[in-house]
Amino acid sequence: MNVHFKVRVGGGYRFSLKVKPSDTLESLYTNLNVHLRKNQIQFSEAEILLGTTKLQNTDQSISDAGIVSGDLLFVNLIASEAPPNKWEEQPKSQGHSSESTDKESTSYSRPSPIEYAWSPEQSIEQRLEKYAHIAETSADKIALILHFILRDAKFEPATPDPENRELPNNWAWRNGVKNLLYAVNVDGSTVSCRIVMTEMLGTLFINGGANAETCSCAIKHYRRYTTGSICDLTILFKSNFVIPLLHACGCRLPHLSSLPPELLLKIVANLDIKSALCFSTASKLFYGIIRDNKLWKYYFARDYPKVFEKLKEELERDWLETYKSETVERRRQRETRKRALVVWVPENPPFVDPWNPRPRVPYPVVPDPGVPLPFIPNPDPHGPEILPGPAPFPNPENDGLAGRLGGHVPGDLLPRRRHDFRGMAGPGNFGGRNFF
Amino acid sequence: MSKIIKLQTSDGEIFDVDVEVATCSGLIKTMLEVLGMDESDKEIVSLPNVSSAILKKVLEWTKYHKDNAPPPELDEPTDISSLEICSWDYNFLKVDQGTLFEIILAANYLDIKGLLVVTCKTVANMIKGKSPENIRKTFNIKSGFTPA
Repeated sequence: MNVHFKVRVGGGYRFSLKVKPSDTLESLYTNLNVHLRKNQIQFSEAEILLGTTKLQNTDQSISDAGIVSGDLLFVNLIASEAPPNKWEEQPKSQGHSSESTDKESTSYSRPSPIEYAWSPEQSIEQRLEKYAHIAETSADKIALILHFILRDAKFEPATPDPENRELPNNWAWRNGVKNLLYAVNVDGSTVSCRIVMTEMLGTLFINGGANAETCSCAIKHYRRYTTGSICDLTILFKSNFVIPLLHACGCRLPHLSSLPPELLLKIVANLDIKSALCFSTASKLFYGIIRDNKLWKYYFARDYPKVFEKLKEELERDWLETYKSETVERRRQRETRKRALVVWVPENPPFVDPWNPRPRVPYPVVPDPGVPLPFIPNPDPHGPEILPGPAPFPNPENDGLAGRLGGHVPGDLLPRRRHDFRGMAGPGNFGGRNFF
Repeated sequence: MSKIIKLQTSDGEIFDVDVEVATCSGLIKTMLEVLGMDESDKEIVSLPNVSSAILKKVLEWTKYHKDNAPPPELDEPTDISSLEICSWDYNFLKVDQGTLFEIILAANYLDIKGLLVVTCKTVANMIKGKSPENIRKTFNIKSGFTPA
């Protein structure tokens, strides 16, 4: 009976193989070589991994090596020109970077940025492929990406894993928690930091701490991160986790507050007033930057160009105060304009008979003792009231339409109750009038 | 046939750059105008404030934008709606904050106005519409105010 299994090459390319259980591992290696050469994959040496154990090129049979049907074998290809382990080669190939760090600690205060420890042929994707046999779950993949970024920022595993020297000890998840120790060299002294990863309800929580300072980041819905979004994930990790961690370790990195004030002013000049004021309350340094008189002159010219034309000749002026008063003045004007638009309508307008107009009385009638009224009011307040004149259709039964519409007033289009139809024409009704 | 100028970064790497691309930088342009072109052919211009990775990024930007006219001075107030950035620049500046600030410093040092304006706008976009607490978190800033 044959053994079927799948082979995954470098994390990307997959194919399935069918061998006899009595075949040796040597024949498996030759099989694989033939297959890969046929598919024009260039390499000098290949190693086959079952899980994390390497299968040696020996006479051992397939069944003795523990390969059964349905297994997934990983193949690690070693390119002909590449060094056998890129990690160990890194410090040598980038000799100048270590030089620059030396220079940093002595004279040059600005440290080298962290992105560039890696060269393009060592992209995160390629390294992920290399470690594809460890990164089975997406949480593991994200942990690996963070590990690579930390390595690029010159973090070393404090206690390396005995099996894989590249990874820190306790790399495996224990009860859903990963507890890793790293060490980083800051100005000649080694600072150790601890990173704890926890997975909870689809969110990956990452906490880091060094020198009694902590930083954390959480990745929501981490499973949706695919190989395509590695770039976004790297930026997120670098900005939100690795840079704060480096700050906690005491590294001096390019930072928003480390920019010179004239550059900060150029940044802030792009902001709207609300954001600028929020920015000023974020830190004491920024508070000082936002108080700059020239900045407020710029804001004023940008937001109120017409008023600025009149005022710009003045040399001495507190532009912050000018901006404030102008804004307050404009708000006041806006509000008065809004208020003027509201027309006051009396709740009960006086009834005016269009057929029999009477002299108009300003409403409400509050007799002003100084102003003569346009008519003589009833001298006796307790006397008979002046009744209003006749309504246009005082009697709905006699509306001038010969009663054809029954007892209902024209214009009343609302649905009526059943007994309202009593007076109308229809079966059982006679001419709209109740005769009986 | 355009001439080549040699730029040396802080970490010792030497870049061969087209003069046309290099003169986007006000610093190099002034240098060439003052010193003359023939002399600079052999000499190496050293840029002690720029690392090779950042210079690579800056050259990538200048190669793309070398035909564009430099933007107007910032002292003249512009419309607030001009916070928009073209999509190439947006993708180009999708980097971590450390790199972004390095690029700002390099653009300021090399006097590349267009790059400086774009990067400043990118940072302004990161600040815009955020609460003070959020800004502190984004940029990892300590408030420094005396506690009440």
